[in-house]
Amino acid sequence: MKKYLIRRVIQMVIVLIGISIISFLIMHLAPGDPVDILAERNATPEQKANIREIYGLNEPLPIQYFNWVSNLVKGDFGTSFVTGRPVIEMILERLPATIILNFWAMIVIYLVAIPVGMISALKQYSWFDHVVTTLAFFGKALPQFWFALMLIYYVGLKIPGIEISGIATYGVDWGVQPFFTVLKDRAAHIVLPLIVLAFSGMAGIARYMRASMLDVVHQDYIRTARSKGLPEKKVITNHAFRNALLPIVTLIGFELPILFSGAVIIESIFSWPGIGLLAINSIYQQDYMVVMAFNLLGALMTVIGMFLADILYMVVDPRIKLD
Amino acid sequence: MLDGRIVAHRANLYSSLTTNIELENNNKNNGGYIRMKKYLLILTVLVLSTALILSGCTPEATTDPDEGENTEGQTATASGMFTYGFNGEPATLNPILSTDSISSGITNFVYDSLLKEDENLEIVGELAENWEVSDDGKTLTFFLQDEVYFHDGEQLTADDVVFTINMILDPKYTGVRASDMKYVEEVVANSDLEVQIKLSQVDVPIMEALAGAGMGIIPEHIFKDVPAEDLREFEASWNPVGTGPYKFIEYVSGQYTVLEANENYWGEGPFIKTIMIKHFQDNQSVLSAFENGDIDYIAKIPVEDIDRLKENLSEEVTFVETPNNGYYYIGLKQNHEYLKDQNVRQALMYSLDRQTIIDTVFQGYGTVINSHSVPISWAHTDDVNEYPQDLEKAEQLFAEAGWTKGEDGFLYNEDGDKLEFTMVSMTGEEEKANVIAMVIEQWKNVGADVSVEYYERSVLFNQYLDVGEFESYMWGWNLSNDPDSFNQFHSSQAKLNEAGEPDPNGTLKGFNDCEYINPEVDQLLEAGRQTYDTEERKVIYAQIQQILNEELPYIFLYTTNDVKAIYNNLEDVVWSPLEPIDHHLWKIVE
Repeated sequence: MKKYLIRRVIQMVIVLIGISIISFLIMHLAPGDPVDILAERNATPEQKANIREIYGLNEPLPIQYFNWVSNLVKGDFGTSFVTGRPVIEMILERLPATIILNFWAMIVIYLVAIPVGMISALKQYSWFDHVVTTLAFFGKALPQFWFALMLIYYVGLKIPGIEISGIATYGVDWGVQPFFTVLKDRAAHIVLPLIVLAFSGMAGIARYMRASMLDVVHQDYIRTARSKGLPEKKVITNHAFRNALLPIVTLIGFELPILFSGAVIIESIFSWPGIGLLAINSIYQQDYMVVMAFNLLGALMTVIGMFLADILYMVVDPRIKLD
Repeated sequence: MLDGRIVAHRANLYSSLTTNIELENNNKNNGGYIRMKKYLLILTVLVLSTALILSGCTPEATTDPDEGENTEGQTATASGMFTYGFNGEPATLNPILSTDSISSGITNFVYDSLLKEDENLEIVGELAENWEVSDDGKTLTFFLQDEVYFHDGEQLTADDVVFTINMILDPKYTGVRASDMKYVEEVVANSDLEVQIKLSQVDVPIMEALAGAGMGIIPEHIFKDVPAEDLREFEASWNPVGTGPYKFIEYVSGQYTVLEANENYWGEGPFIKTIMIKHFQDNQSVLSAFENGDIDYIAKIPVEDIDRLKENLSEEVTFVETPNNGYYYIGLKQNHEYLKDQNVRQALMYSLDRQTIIDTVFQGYGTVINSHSVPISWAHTDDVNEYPQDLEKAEQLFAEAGWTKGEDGFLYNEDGDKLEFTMVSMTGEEEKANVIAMVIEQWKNVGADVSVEYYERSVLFNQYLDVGEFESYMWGWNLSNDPDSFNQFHSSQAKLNEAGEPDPNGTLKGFNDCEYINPEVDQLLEAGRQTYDTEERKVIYAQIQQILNEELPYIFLYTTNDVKAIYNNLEDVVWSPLEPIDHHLWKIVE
């Protein structure tokens, strides 16, 4: 076990180094550079060279990479070319909104999708199953931006009390207003984006759960459980459900990077101050430092998520031994 | 704030305890004690993270500004809140670094410039009470308003003005204001309230530059120790302290910028207490926020929504249609094998029905443009060829240039070459792409085979426009209120060789990327920059417009109009022909 952990950590470090090189190269090989944004279009070559020098863009690529990584190791993600602010600060101020939205979306998705998937497996080919299957395909196929705009126009603008943009009303803060006033305000803001995210995310999990459940209920031990006279309810909850949940549990590991990655479309339509928009804008503005920090953060979360998934697998399924 | 957090924690802990107990009861019979422990663990993690997230999303509690503090000696008390939306985020809050309209839109509230444009787009004093121009036109003396204070209480003096301009002139300065100040030789403070700008040559457009939000005067006492190259990173570039009618309170990325009335403002007002600028990321979201009453003003209603909005909100909203100070065009390489012939360029112009393009793509919210000028400019002349669509004339002009229609409907010259060329433009702009599609179709009708290639912005600039390597391209100009177009059409701004002569193999020096060379225009452009006499300049720029209209370095296309809307609870809104201005004079009815 210890050996396994050490090996995995070493692997993770190697993967991260690889990703840092790739994300550095992608940004620097893409056409154009931040000078195009900073300088005027008719800036003289001297002015451009001057800007390059100030931001260290005149150094050879390996040296730039080395400088970047050695600062990273010290915890310094650099400074944005565009805003002049520390990258880590820009990311951290956007991260909470993304995590809040994705966290609640995940909760809603799992709370709804798991029972829904289970029931449609148990009542395979019933009307419920058909409705769920159809809805699941709808959820996957519906363009998020369209669904979001429809919600804004037919729910947000019609029902008073439901907010269509932003994350909070200015001045309504925890501790300033009564707890429930603030809670109501936050809920009024989050409800529409949450619906969109949950609806499109639910489909996959529900189908997954259905498949997994179908697989389990046809296993021998379920037949055994039934034949020894256990009530059906017990068979399902104690034997079938728990085993069917195994593959779902490991999915949670993969959700970790999703938790930290912004949903660009949702964020832009609902003006949700999350991380996705910052990433997209930084790409357009060729703001290397911010984009590279994003890539690295995403890679880090993915690697950790995979690692957790493996560990979780071992925890929930005693048959699996990692070494 | 603390209280709220404690309550939140307590509530969550309580609910977690009860759930756990229930779980314990349920699981007792199954002997799943170990599993239950796992559940407990997971639940605790969930609950803790919920609590964390709830407390984590607490925005910085806004310090309620001390209202009793600044009322001394104040006549008007500001009240109410004016909310509007921007599609995007500011890139900086330092006026002399700003390049986008969002940054300058915010800094304009916080900082004052020496001059400003009034509601007739004429230049008037702001921080400068008045000014003098020396007889040779090379020395500008500005006399500042007395008793102007920065928001931190320091008095504004001539030194702050000198400091601001010197910062821009610093070779290490990384912003884009340097070219506006390129003829400034020296700036000196003659006294606390008198600044002198010495120019190396007469440069009339500098007045327009000094009147822009981008030339806000920054406080020397805050910025004095910052090297020019570190200006962008300096914290005061994000915490602006100016002399303007509004004080900066806070900017929350992705959410809002809040400004508060400067009760010690030197001028009239402000009457509205709070300005709340919400940052959106999508035009549709700005629109729906406006419809929902979340914002009081919208700067541009998407054309397809104008009629619906006018119908739904006619009672509570005022709609104003304003022109944009800019236009779109197709630049034609003047030394291109086919396009160098003026007849061909004019024929291309006569082939187009530009009004139909405006009616189709912009639903009529736009105006046909025939030269380098827009109708609202004081220097604009209508005395030019309007190039109405005339297919016969186009055919005749093509014939004069040696192009005849072949069997396939395309034009061929004597050598049997087809009249074809390529246009480059930028990806991701739907309206522009629609215009291009219509233009190409109309040209195809007369036999010109034009293909279009779209590139991502930085590719378009780096590989085509900024190096002047193209046959034709579609782009637009934002104009200032000064009619000067030296950068676009003077031969010194085209491709030059090492000796400084125009040369198609040289390097592009300015924005004359079509390489339009005309000594007469050169002379007029130079003369136009040298005289402060508006009547004289009107004559000069009318001539330039007429020559450009005839020789057509560009296929001049259109300018668009925006429909802006503002809720009627705002009063005394000052409108320039372009946009609402002077927010400090506005009032709000609650």
